Amino acid sequence: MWNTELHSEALANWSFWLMMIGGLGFFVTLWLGGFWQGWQWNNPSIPFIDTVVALKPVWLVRFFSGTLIFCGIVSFAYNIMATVIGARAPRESAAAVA
Amino acid sequence: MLSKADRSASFAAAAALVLFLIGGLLTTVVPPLVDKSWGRPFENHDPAKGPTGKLRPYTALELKGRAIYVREGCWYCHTQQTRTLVADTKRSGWRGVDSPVSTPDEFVYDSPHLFGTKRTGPDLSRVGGKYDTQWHHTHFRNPRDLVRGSVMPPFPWIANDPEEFTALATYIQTLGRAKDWRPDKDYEK
Repeated sequence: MWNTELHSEALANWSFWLMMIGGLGFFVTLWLGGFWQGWQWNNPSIPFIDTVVALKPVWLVRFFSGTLIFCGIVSFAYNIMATVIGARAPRESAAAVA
Repeated sequence: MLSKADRSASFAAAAALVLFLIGGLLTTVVPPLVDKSWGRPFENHDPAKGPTGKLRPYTALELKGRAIYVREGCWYCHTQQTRTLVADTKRSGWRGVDSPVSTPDEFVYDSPHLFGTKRTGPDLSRVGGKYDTQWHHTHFRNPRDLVRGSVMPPFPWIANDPEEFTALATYIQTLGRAKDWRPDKDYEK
């Protein structure tokens, strides 16, 4: 669109892998954690508080996966912004000369 | 007609939308039109027809407590619905007595409704009368004093404000009380 190269291809790879690993972490914990929680809920002899305590490690993993996804998105946004600004700057300076 | 859907994407999309709309209307708008009991407050005096009791409108104090419940976001983590699962009726139950399943006529005065969608904390649809008000006071000050491992945040600004606490506790004690389902009036105050 701006007829230019990406600001940083290395950063784009970082964004991809951060979001990929974070996303996989989310996928696995939501999937397994959800099954586990539902299975425990369906057994009324397990007190409710035990089903909460059992999910604490799952929430911890989700916190770290979410942090990875967040960093991935921020780096992606920065990369795109830098690309757009970098593409505009030379054209504007050219216009100023003319 | 099927071959037309094969050839035209917009026809297929429109047909899918119409089908979805029909399904949506049948599951949302039609049931309360067919079954008028949905809109009438719960009332039953015949033990043969299930739990007896009567749903009454909220008092001013209960409405204030309900507003606090909404303001503090209790409904982010607590649902108010006993589903038609055996596990739900047992979990909402008390001292070996299963609680009745929630029915639409119990929520006639709930606007907006507070069914909730996420159960990080336990369901509250039958919590009225389960714990005494002193228990709730201690629990709001610090839930972990009473429930080890709880992830509920403490609410000292409610526990330390007698007016707010009384309103909220009064509201909580009404939850699920329209249906008088516990034998021998075994309710805490």
